[in-house]
Amino acid sequence: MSLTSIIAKKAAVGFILFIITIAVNFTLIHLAPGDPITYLLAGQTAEGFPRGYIDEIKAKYGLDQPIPIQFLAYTGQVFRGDFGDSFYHGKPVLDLVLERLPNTLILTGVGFAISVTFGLLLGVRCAKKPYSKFDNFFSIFSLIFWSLPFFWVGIMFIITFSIYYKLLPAQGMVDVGAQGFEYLASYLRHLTLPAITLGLGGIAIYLRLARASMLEQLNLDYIKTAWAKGCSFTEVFYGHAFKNALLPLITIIALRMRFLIMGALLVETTFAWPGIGRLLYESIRVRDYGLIQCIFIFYSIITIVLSMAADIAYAAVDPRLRK
Amino acid sequence: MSLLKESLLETLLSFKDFSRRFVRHKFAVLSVCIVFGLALLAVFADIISPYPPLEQDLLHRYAAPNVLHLFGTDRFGRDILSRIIYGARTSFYVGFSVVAICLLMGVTVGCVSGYFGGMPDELLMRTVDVFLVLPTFFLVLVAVALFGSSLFNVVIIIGVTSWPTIARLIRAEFLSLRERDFVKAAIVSRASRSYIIFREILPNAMYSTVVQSTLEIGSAILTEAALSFLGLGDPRIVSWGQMLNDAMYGLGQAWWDPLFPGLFIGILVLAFNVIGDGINDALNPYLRELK
Amino acid sequence: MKDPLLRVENLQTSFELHAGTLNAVDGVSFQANKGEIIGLIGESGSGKSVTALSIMRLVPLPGKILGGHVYFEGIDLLRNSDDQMRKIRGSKIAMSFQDPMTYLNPVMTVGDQIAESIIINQGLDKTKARQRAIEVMETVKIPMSSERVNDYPHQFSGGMRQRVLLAIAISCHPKLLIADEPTTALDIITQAEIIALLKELNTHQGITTLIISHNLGVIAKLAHTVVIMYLGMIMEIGTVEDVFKRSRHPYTKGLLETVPRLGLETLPTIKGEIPNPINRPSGCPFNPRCPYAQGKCQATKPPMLEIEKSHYVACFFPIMT
Repeated sequence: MSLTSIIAKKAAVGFILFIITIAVNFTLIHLAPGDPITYLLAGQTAEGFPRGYIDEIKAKYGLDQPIPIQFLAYTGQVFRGDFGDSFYHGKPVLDLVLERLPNTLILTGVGFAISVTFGLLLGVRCAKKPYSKFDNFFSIFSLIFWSLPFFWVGIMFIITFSIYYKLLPAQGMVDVGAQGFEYLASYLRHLTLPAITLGLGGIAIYLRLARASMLEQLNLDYIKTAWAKGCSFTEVFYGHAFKNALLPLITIIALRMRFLIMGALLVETTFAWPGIGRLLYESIRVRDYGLIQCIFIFYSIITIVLSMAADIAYAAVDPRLRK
Repeated sequence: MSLLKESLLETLLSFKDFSRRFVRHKFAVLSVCIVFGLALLAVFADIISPYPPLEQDLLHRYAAPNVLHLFGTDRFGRDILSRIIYGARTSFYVGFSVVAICLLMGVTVGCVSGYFGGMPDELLMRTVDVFLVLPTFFLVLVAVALFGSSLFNVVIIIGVTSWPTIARLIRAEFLSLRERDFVKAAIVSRASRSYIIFREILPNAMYSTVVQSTLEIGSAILTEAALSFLGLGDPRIVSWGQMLNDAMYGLGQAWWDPLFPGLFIGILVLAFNVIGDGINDALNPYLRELK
Repeated sequence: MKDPLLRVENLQTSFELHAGTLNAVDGVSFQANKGEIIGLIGESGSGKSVTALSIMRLVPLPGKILGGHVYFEGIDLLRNSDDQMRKIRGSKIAMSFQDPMTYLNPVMTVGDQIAESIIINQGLDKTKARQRAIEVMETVKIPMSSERVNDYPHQFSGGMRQRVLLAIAISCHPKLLIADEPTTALDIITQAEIIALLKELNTHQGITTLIISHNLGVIAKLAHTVVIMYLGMIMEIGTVEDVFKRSRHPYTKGLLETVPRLGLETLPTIKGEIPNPINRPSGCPFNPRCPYAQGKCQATKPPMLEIEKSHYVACFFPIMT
């Protein structure tokens, strides 16, 4: 099974999952108590609107059609990118989402990079000398950070670093009016706390996983062969155990993607970072269902793409799956 | 039914042996005490709490911790300590209810899937796979937004999105245990299906399930906290997550406002995690040899 | 007689377990001359693998070598530093293992794994090492070696993988090869091939070999000298003729009788079971199961005596018929 066929397979699976997501979205809307009209009108009843308007909406959203047709129509809309308008912002939903999407992607990307890099490296280093001071410290560290609600950690960071020590900005993305280089510097300063907060939770998990995986590998038989060859500790540790230990972690990272996304949402809310998470938060508060649905679809896309990417990466790296 | 009773009895007897190993872990024992202590607070909240949790005192808003209010007051002048104590109730309720739902659904699905295999297994596992890839948190958000945010709803929704992990675990245990000799022996001696499930396989699968469940309790508490933090929790009851949501309004004015709720969430979840770890270690005595 | 290549003297290795102390190797002494094949026979729990690991100083925790000497080319390996041992492993003394699937790195090509030994021990660069690896694969009779050098372990059959392990071991022309159960995981036909290969390596390349097995037939076909172990101690040492045809120790005799033969109606066994190695019987470890045991056997450990030329037995009442 070559790499291309694996990619094709994963893409197909991803596509199917996407359709399922749309179906779930659709089902939820129709399962919820009340008339879908109510949701489209954002909680206001149909009475306050002129009769013709209601009929127009019904026709536009095909609400007078049988359910399967509605579903197909809905799916079509999703693929066309027609999510309607946000009543709250008065703009097309898709535009709003696309405006903020890059910010979320950057925050998530940086947070992910922080958690994976530090988590894996520290975890492997811990496994080098298990139960040493270094190891014990970081094991306790990761256990604590795994248990704490990291959005709370974010709040504490704000209080400490922004308010008391005035080191880093508390919320928002850039200072108003900044241009060019200033803009970049300001952006990075604003990104620091949110990204670290997001990364911290991940570090805790990946640290433990990497450590456990390394220790497990070091007990396996092929390590004995390496010792018998005359390999030094470094050669055994990094040359043999390392790659084998990291492989299963890729799968786990794939599974944890959804938690990363959830984390981004919470961090965006805490730090008022203008990404789609913050947008979702706001739209839930005002019950702007058009927006909610669209963001949900986008989050699904991101999660599915990331999971499939991790699966493909695993297949690319493990020779047992390829030949 | 007596089959279930018998298997429970056997499990209880090996429990003695297990508890001996468990108490060797000081931190695990400490965590049990913490959980117990907080549980007592929750149960006897009415008696212990110095103030009613919803009572406002607008003259003393954002008061720093002092003799009258040990943890200070929030933006409405409500005593934080009392709210923490009542919040413990919510946390325990959510934690245990969600785990109960998870176990009910997860064990059933896992048993059916792992024991019977074939078509039902395939079907159920595909469903589980879908759950694992979808951003379930958003499902929860959207569902709460649509169906309303009563505590009951929240618990049901979190439970429904969390059972797949348990199901997978049980199924994996079933698959590996099914091939073991003692099960084959039971099959060969014409034991009935329910006998095999309840007396041979389930007791062995139980231990790792218990470990996973304690971790799940912590996870459920964190999820509820996150939901309440976003303003989607039940507004009628006190929850630690909700207190954090409140704290966002006057961010920076009162460090004690967000400090205590988050701290307690962390302590409770940490305690459950350590207990889970302790159980895990006690189940694998051979790993300790190498220390 | 020239000095032996390997001389193990009163080796003692034990494991500190929760349940008690396990004396896996309790006073083991034997030697191997250059060019010899020594067959180490024992049931599970006899300590044969731990002996091999002790020679390599690769005993896993919680095991510890407590005492004795392992003279290799005149130098006591047990006195060596870790660095010195590392230099010896792979280059002077090499080891191959029992289950070739789990003993090979699944994500490294076979060629790389063989070449790694060459690079570490002989300092060749990657290209030359790879060339060498292909040659070694040919020596162990892996067909199409220049193509298969880039394959991964899971693409080989069990017999081929065992050859890969042997290739890794002999790649740097070691003086001593320790093969731990080289045939156990294989079917009979492949076993015969590996036995032939080991014999050839010994005759043509002059590699002194220590073969560990519980399979009497394999040892009978390969070894010059046989060492019988039981519960961490040696029961009998001798040439393959002496031990198989003129066994003196009751345990050896019992072992040989358990080999199934045509025409037998019942399978003979040695009476009793192998006791828990943590609670060994006092005196001679075999005494509870020995049909000839007497009071003396329980009280004292029998010393190793040379009962005939080059034939040693640790028994107070050896069978002299």
